[in-house]
Amino acid sequence: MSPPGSAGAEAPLIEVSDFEVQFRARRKLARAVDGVSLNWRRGEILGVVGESGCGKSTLARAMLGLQPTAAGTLALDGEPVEGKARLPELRRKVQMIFQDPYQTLNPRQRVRTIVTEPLLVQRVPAGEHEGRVNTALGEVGIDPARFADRYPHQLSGGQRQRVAIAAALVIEPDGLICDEPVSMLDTSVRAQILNVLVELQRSRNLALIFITHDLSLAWSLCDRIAVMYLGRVVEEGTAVDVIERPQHPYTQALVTAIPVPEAGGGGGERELLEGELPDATAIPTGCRFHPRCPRRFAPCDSVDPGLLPVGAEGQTAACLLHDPEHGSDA
Amino acid sequence: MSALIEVSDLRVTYGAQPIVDGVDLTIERGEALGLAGESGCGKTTTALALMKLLPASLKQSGEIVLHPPKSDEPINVHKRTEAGMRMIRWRHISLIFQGAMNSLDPVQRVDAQIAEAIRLHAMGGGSEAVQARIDELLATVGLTSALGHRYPHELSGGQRQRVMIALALACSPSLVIADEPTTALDVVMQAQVLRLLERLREELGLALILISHDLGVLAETCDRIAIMYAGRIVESGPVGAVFDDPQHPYTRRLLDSLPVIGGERGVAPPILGQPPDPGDPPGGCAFHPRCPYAKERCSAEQPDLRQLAPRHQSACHFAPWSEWPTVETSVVGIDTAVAGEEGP
Amino acid sequence: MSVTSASAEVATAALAGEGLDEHGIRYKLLHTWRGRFGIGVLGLFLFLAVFGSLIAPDDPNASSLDVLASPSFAHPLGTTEQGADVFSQLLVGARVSIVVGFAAAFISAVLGSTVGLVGGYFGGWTDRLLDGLENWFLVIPTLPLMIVLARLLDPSLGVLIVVIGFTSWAGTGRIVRAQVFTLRERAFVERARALGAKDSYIIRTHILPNTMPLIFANTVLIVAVAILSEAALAFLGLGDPTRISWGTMLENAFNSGAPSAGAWWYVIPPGLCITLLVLAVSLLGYLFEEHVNPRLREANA
Repeated sequence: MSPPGSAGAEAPLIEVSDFEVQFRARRKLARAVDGVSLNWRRGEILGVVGESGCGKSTLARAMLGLQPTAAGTLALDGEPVEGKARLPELRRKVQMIFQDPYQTLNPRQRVRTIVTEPLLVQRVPAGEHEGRVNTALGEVGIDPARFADRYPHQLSGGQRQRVAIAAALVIEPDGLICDEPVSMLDTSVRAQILNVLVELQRSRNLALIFITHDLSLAWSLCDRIAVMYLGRVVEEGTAVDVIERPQHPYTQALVTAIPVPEAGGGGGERELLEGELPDATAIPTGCRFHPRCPRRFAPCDSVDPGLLPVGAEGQTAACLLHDPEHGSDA
Repeated sequence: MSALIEVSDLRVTYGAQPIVDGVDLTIERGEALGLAGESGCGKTTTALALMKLLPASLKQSGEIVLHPPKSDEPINVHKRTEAGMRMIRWRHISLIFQGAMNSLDPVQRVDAQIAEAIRLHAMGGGSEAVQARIDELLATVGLTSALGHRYPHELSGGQRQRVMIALALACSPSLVIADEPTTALDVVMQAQVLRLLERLREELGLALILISHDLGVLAETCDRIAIMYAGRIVESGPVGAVFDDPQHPYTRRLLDSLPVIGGERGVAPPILGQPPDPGDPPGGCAFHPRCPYAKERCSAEQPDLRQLAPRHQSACHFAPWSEWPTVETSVVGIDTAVAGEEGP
Repeated sequence: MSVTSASAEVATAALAGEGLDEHGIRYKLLHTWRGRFGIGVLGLFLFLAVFGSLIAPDDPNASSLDVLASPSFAHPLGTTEQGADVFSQLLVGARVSIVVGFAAAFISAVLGSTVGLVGGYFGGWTDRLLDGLENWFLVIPTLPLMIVLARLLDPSLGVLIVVIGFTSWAGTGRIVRAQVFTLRERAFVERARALGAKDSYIIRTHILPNTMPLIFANTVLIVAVAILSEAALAFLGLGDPTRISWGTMLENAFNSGAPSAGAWWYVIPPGLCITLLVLAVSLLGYLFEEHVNPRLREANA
């Protein structure tokens, strides 16, 4: 999936190929992630967007080894990670921020303990602990002198999220996966946390994965975006290309559905999707989006498109409209 | 157009703490007003107060006068007793609670619940009339009778939200209050529900109070918008005016923080601090600790909501603002306030 | 807790006046009649458990010829069928009830929590096995089981404690298991796993501390059950014959025909003491449970 002609000299931080994650829901098999391949390059902000149920969070957890995969491979810095062998290294290099700031900290631990824990688990020498904890807290904008001995219930949502970021940073990872890090925060607080993340990304050249259902946010922050639908990536490219010039009908529908905080809302031209998101246990045949697609045509219910080059360089979409064999370039 | 509901000096307190601190609202017939703000600003409490649905521990004062479209008699809602309110709720004003789609009775079929609402508010007729009404309501919100016969868990989130809308319409009110009706829905379903609300407004001449923290949603659907902060309205006016030409620093900074596709990318400088604790509001202008333009006067004197243009009001000492000076803020924003102060 | 929940607004306002937990529980313990009664009565009996034998006016085991005498100045609660002082026996008997009650509850708590923690955290076959075991113990009528076990083993205080503890753990286990199920999905547990922390570490530092309030509240209620169980077993003659307890007092009273002889001073006081102690402990137990639960509900929301 790397753009052709890119300076692909450095191996991506994480490269997943054909990832599959499945759950048993009663008797049925839910294919939460159904064949996803992604490159996550060092220093890059990658957005993974989609509606709830598309598998983006599951994908992230599988990348960290928190979720067993049914199939697929993962490579860390170019070398494959198999079984438990390189798992500790993976965990040292990649950390995660979760969505709910009210559940992300152990209510019985003080801030200092929470931020020190990663150092303990990763067996960093005790002498270094205090310094690194104070540095990490300072970097996220929390004054250690005032907050280190507080309990989570004494902190606001934004402050808790900052502590969670500090706890992730304290072991100096190369990448941070952020799963909806601001969606449960007040609007006026979101920009604070986003600023923290962006500033950290810049100063430490962190790779970020930004998982969100908020396309405007992804557009404004990310370098590249992958759009997921029902367990697959259906479109991928630079943030500007994917959001401003979407090539997949699903992305197009999502983008036009966004309410705009401007007079008049920017509603107007809108092709709203029919139907409901299918269950992951009953994925449609052929192109999984076809039952709801306003632009479906004959082969869509039988042929499952892979990601095909479309539009700008480096942009791909899984749509038969762009398949020279089946459809014209729409 | 004539006023449908006039609210004057609405106040809600918990003991000595103000939760809603003097709110004036007027809604015309068929008008959609957006009530915007973050957690703790009092918007939901305001909505509940309009229907006198607040728990006994919260004390409410102020005038609420309803001018129902089919009668000349104004109704003084604030003077009504609980028994009297039963004649008003659902028949004149109805409310779609936040997260309501999860509060449908899981062991009753959907149409039975709508029937119950109809009967509870003494609009009835025989079972045939009620059934016809149910079918009519379901059709209005785009659901079939067959779907109506299912249990709530068999419907999707978007469908359940439509059921809530149908329930709210059961007794043909003239005003519907919708509290965060699209928060739990994805973007596409959200657009569908908003489109439905717009259509209903047109077809039924409904007035709407739409409460949301999402300014985009409000811009889409509403004619006017009121921004609340710390229990008061800090800015209100037509949607176009407020979004194109905000006259309060809070509105300005909120709008700045929202990315608009096609415009400038990147993260805006943040608003520092966090929304005030209802139990411990700052002195003077409630926004002053977070306001980059605050001067001495702002911490001492609380600004009144002043008229700037025919229907555009702002509660800022320095309004009108013709231009906004650039703001230098620390990017990372060291947090200075601690929530929930507690002894050692 | 979502960003814009109506209840958050009202709850923030509502809680602002009340303050947070610690203050809440102290208030509840010291300023409600339930709390005061519970602490007062329990405190009294704890005191007796420790000092009862020192302050008893007579040797509770001393027999005399003054058999089943009604209350008098020398014997404020009369005498037993052996001529011993009922009042002294009553004071001394507190020890057995308290010791058995608390010790058995402790065993029950340890057993129940361990099963609940292990089953709840690991899930799968481990959990199915342990859950099955739990169900078995829940379903079996406890008193008959206790009677059977006590009969099989030599009667002694230790045996009594073990038997009661062993038959009451399942309730705690069930509750702990449910709580662990919720906890292990929490983000802070996932974070620990994402760091590569070992299961034992996670259970110790994250799961257990967050389950403690629940275990504590539940165990207090088990204390009440244990005290009653001891009384019942002793009454049925399965208690430790070398020790005086309220249950044995009742046993002896009934065996010697005290009720029909009208010796109310022998029957009512021990029964009353058992009732008061169990009531006090139960009130405290419900208080703690209530205190823990709304927080749990909010935390789980």
